[in-house]
Amino acid sequence: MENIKVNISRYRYIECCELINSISEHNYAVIKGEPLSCLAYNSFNKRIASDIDILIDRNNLRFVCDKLQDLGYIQKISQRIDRILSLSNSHQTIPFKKKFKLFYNEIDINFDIFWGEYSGKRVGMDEFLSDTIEMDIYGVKVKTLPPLKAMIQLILHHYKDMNSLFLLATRKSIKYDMFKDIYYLLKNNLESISLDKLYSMSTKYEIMPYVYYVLHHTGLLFDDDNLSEYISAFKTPEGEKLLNCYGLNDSERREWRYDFKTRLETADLYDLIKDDLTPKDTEKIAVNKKVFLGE
Amino acid sequence: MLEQTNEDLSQLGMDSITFIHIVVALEEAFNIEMPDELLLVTEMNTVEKITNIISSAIINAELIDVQE
Repeated sequence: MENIKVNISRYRYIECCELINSISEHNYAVIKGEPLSCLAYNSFNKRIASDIDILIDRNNLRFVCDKLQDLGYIQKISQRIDRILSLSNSHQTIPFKKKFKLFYNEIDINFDIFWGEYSGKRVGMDEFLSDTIEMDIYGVKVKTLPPLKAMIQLILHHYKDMNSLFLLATRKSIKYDMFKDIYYLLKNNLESISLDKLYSMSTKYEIMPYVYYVLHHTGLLFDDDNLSEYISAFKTPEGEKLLNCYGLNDSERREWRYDFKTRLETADLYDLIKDDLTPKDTEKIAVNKKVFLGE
Repeated sequence: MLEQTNEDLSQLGMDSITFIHIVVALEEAFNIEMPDELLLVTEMNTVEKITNIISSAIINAELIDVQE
C-alpha cells in the first residue's frame, strides 16, 4: 500500500513537471504536500495529499491558469460568478483536474496566504516568494518555501481551516494531523524557525494573534518545552480573545459552544455550529458549496 | 444613504456575497471584466475605488478593440 501511495505521488509530480517548467519564469512555490512532508518529517509520503498546491502572485493568475488549460487541465467553472467568488472569497482557485490512465491529477493554485475575508494588511506574494528553495521531489526539481515561510503559510492555512464557516460546515477541518505537522515542522527546523525569526516575521506581517492561536492549540496536544516557550512569547490579549472563537472576520466571529477536545474529536463539525448559523451564513455556505464542491 | 464616495461600503452592510453580486452586475452593465488582482472586498470597498476600476477596465477594453 505504501508503494502504491509513493508511486501515485511520484506520477503526480512527473506529470506536473511540464507545468512547473512553463511557470518557472515567475515566482512560485509548491506548498503543503510533499514539500511539507520533507521539511517536517525528513521524508516524502509522510502526509496524506491528494493534490498539488502551487502558490503564486495573484497578478500571474491568468498566465498560470492559461498554462494549465493548455496542458489539458480542466476547471469546473460554469459561470463568471464562480470565478469571482473564488478570487474574492478564497485563497485559491477552483481546482484544475486532469485525468490520467490510473488517477486524476488535481492542481490547486493558491494566490494568497490569507483568506478572502481578511481585512488586515496583505502580504505581496511576489515578495513572499522571493526566497524560495529548490527541492527534488521524485526527480522533479521544484521551488518551495524555506522552513520559516512554510511555517507562516501553514499557520495561516490552519487558522483559516479552523475558523471558516464553509470549511467547518462541509469537512473535518480541525484534525490532529494539522497540529502534528506544525509540531514536527517546528521541532525539525528549530534553527530556521527560531523564536526570534518567527517572532520577527510574524510582527512584520502583523499576524501575531493567528500564530498564537495555532501554536496554542498545538501545545494542547504536544507537551514540549520549546513549543511552550514559543507559545508564551506569542501570547497577546488580541490572540487570547480569538482562542475560543471561530469565524474569519469580525462580522462572522462568534464563540464556540464546545471545547477544543470536542471539536477535535467530533466527526461532523457542522453539528457543532449549525445552531449558530444565520440565514446569511447559510447562504454563503451554499454559494461556496456550489462553486467549490459542485453541489 | 451614502454621504461620500470614499465611505467604506462594508461598514454600510456590503458583505462577501453582496460584493459578488455587485461585481457581476457592474461587469454586465459595462461589458467589462474586473482584473483578477482587484477582485477583493478591500480593493473595491468604496464608490471611488469602484469607479476608478470601472474606468480603467472600460479604457482597457476600448484599447483592445482598437488594436484588434
